[in-house]
Amino acid sequence: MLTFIILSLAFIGGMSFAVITGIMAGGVFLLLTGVFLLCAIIPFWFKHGSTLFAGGLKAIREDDEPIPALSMLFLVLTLMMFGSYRYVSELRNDYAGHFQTICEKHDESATWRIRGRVIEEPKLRGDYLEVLVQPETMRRVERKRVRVQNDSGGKQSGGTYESVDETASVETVTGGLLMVQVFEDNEVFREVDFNQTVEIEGQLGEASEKRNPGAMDYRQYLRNRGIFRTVRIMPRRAALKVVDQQSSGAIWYRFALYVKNEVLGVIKQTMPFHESSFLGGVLLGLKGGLPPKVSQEFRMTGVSHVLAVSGLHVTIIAGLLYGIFAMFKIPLRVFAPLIVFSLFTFAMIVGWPSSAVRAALMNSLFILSMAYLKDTGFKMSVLFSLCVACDYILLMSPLQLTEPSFVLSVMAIYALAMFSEPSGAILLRMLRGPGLAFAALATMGFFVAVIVKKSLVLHPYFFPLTFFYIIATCYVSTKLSDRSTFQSFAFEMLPGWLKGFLAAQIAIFVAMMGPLSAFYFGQLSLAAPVANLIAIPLIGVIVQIGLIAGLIGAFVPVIGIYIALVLNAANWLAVKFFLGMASFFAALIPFPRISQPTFGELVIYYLLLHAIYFWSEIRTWTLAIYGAVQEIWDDAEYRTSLSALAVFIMILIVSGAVFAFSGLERRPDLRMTMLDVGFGSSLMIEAAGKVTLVDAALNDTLAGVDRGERVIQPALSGKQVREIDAVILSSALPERISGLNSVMSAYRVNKLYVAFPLATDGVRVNFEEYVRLFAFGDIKMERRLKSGQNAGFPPGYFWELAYESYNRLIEDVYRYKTPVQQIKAGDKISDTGVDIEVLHPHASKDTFQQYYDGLVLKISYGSQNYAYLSGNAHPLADIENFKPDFIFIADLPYPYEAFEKFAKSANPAGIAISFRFPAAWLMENFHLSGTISARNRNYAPRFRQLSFPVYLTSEKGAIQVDQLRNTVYTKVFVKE
Amino acid sequence: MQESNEATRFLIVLLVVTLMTGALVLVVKSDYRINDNVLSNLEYYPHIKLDKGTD
Repeated sequence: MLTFIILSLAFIGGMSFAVITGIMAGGVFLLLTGVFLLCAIIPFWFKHGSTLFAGGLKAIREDDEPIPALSMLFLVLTLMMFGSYRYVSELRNDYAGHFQTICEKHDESATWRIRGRVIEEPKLRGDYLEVLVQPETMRRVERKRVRVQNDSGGKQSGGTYESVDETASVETVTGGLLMVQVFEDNEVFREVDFNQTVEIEGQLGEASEKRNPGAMDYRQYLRNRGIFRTVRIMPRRAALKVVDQQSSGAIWYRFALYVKNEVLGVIKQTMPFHESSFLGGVLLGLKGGLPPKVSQEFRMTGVSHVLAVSGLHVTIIAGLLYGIFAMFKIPLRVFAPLIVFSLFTFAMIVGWPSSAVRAALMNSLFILSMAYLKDTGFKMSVLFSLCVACDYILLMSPLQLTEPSFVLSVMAIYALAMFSEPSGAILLRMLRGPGLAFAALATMGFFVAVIVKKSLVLHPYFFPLTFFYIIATCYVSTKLSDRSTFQSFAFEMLPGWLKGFLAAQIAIFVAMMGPLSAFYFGQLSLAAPVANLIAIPLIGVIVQIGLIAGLIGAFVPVIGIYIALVLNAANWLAVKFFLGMASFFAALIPFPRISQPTFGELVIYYLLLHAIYFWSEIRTWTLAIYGAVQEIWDDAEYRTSLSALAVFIMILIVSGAVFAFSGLERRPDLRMTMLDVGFGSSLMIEAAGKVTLVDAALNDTLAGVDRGERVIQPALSGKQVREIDAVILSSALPERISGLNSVMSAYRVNKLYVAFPLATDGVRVNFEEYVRLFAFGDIKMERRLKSGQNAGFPPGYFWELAYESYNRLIEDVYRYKTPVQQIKAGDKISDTGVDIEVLHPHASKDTFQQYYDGLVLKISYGSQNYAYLSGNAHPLADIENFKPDFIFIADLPYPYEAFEKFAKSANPAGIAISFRFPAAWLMENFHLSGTISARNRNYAPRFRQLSFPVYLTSEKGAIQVDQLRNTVYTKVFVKE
Repeated sequence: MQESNEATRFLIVLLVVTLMTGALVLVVKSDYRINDNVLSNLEYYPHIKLDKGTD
């Protein structure tokens, strides 16, 4: 068993080697696999060859050393090389016939007719179905506009229609998947199903790659699932029709789907919406239908793992089935295969995610070993099962290795297996008498503090101080417990299951949830340790009752549905309580951002954690190895070999260190990043250890997209920023200020500089005051005010958004006690690590013209200068003797002629423009959409005529400008 | 053996308590009926056909 675990680790280690080094030499890895395997066979052959010929397999098994040490060493190397080969070979998509290769041969605008098979049940995602199609054939569709001359009329009456050229050859696809998004306004929305042959016609798209620092690479995520193109089925854009329904094949999967649909039908009849969507999510893995607010609350309280069907669910179901069979006195040897069958059917029902497959495999192995094998110890059994599950999943889909869901799922089990017992021992020693009282008081004190003063979590050193607070609490509690003879209140008096549960919670938090949540998501739910104490037992009850009700309702005739109704009526109470609990903790306990640790820091954390938890074991092993080495060293015969081995290990360590350091990026003196925030703008400036944000993007409440939360916060978290030294707002436009609300809820802002008047008393202004303060160039509104009428209500969504954003800003600066300074031409800002001089507007006026009074900034560092323009180019005519080395613009510059003159005279290294066409609903009833679209069309050819590069965030993603000594380097996030 | 007895006992207690609580909910909450549930779930996975059970 230990041998298998070591070889599994070697296989996973080999894959990790390929991931970290990025070496793509698949052929070399395969060759080395063969060579090492041969090397492993030779010592084995020398030792056991004759026994093997004599058919003495039993003798080999019973040998003290069945696999010689040298063979073992080479087997480890073989598995490592095979792991690397398997990972690299899966990345290959450049062979003829692969979906990616065929698509890349043609331009992006090509229209395709693709025939393929739906390979899994469509998943509901908001307002569309996600359908995974395995393309079988594809043909390019050439569309030609043909003029048809009408008999009765002249040229004017002639119409056009599109003719489809069917002469393009059919290409057979041998690899790669297509993700089809079918929106609900299509008829096929209710028709498309698993195992159908479908025909899709339309333009294919490629998922967005990483566009901003700290952002997720969605393209890579899809490629790891084998998906290379996407298509959106919408009227007049792309069409999907069902060609054939295959009724044969995949019997097991079809059976699983049948059970799933029947149980879902029972849920719909026996539980009202939206509690039904929660039960469907936790029982059947159906995430569609759950309100976004509930999902957000689950994330904030750290209980969203209940929706990702995981080991917890599979274990609950295994336990339930075990209980049912035991109730009828059926022997374990008889029902063990039935449980295994049910667990894999369940994994199919929930969509075969790696977490459920892993859990089904592990539980199955555990139950089978209990039924048919002798006891090998709990920890070893779990580790062995985990290795089998990982080997299977990674052999089938090696790219899963880098998926957070896979890593989280595996580490959860690893944490439970390795850290539960020692955590229990720590609690046992720490929580007794006064130690228990002290720990309880310290924990309560911590939560009371963050609940009463929520802004505490924004302190730049909140997490490091919390870490030391926990360590100090553990130390003092242990000391108090050690000194005390008081035995009345102690952790050890709790029932066994509760002790185990609490120890498991500690293990999960320190070895999985805490470090990996910070590493992958840059967030840490403070409510998670408390909420999960309630959530995990409760979800056990909900899943068990839901499953019993679902099966009885689906398969017991006549009275089944009524029994299910009674059962789920009780379950409804439990679900209500669960949702209420999540909502309560989400409102009560803050959900702060945390600096994302680097991979190296994560490795160091885990090394330290293992050192603390397994100090005595590590010490024993170290002493044993030291003793063995010393013994060998004393023998002169082995001294040379040992020296060679030591040198070899040193070379390996030094090479590894050199490789790791060569991958580190040299930190520039100044880094300015124009983030790709869609419509709006945000520039991040990093210099001398300080971070400044110029503008804070848009929070489009109607679309539910907050760029402050989605773009700015991950960028800050990824750069390990703890606080923002200054925020400068160039204008009060909603696309510049509304994203700041969520940023301020996660990061402390030390000072706010604004170009417009901003009250700090926290009192909201009414719409009348707002309109008289800000001019938007809205002719209708101006006429209304001039005619003596009051402003009334916001006339459109944009006005409403602008008004609400401004008021939120007033409330935020009051709530967080942020110092505010209004700036004008001639003011200098020097607390940002760079020198910033305001060049425009010249003076504060009663009315702030949103488009004409926006800031123009001169940013200086060393001998280099940079300009930040809010979009209005009029003031540039008055600015003399300023030749920036790079220009950042928050919007398309207007008027272009003024901007062109300024830019040509400066001749910068480049221009970065934050621009994306605004959503239709944003500009509804607002007379700018025409102007913006006209500008957008006219500007592209003009930019191409300039002698320096112009980067648009809509095309290039985030644009990063680094200054290293006196040289400026530009990097764009989207290279194509 | 002891473990399986405990699991069985837990399951029986869970079922009895659930049935009693469920019955109580149905008595107290007059709009908790199959038809009402079906109506509230019309937009939730609409492709699942419900052809049985009315009260």
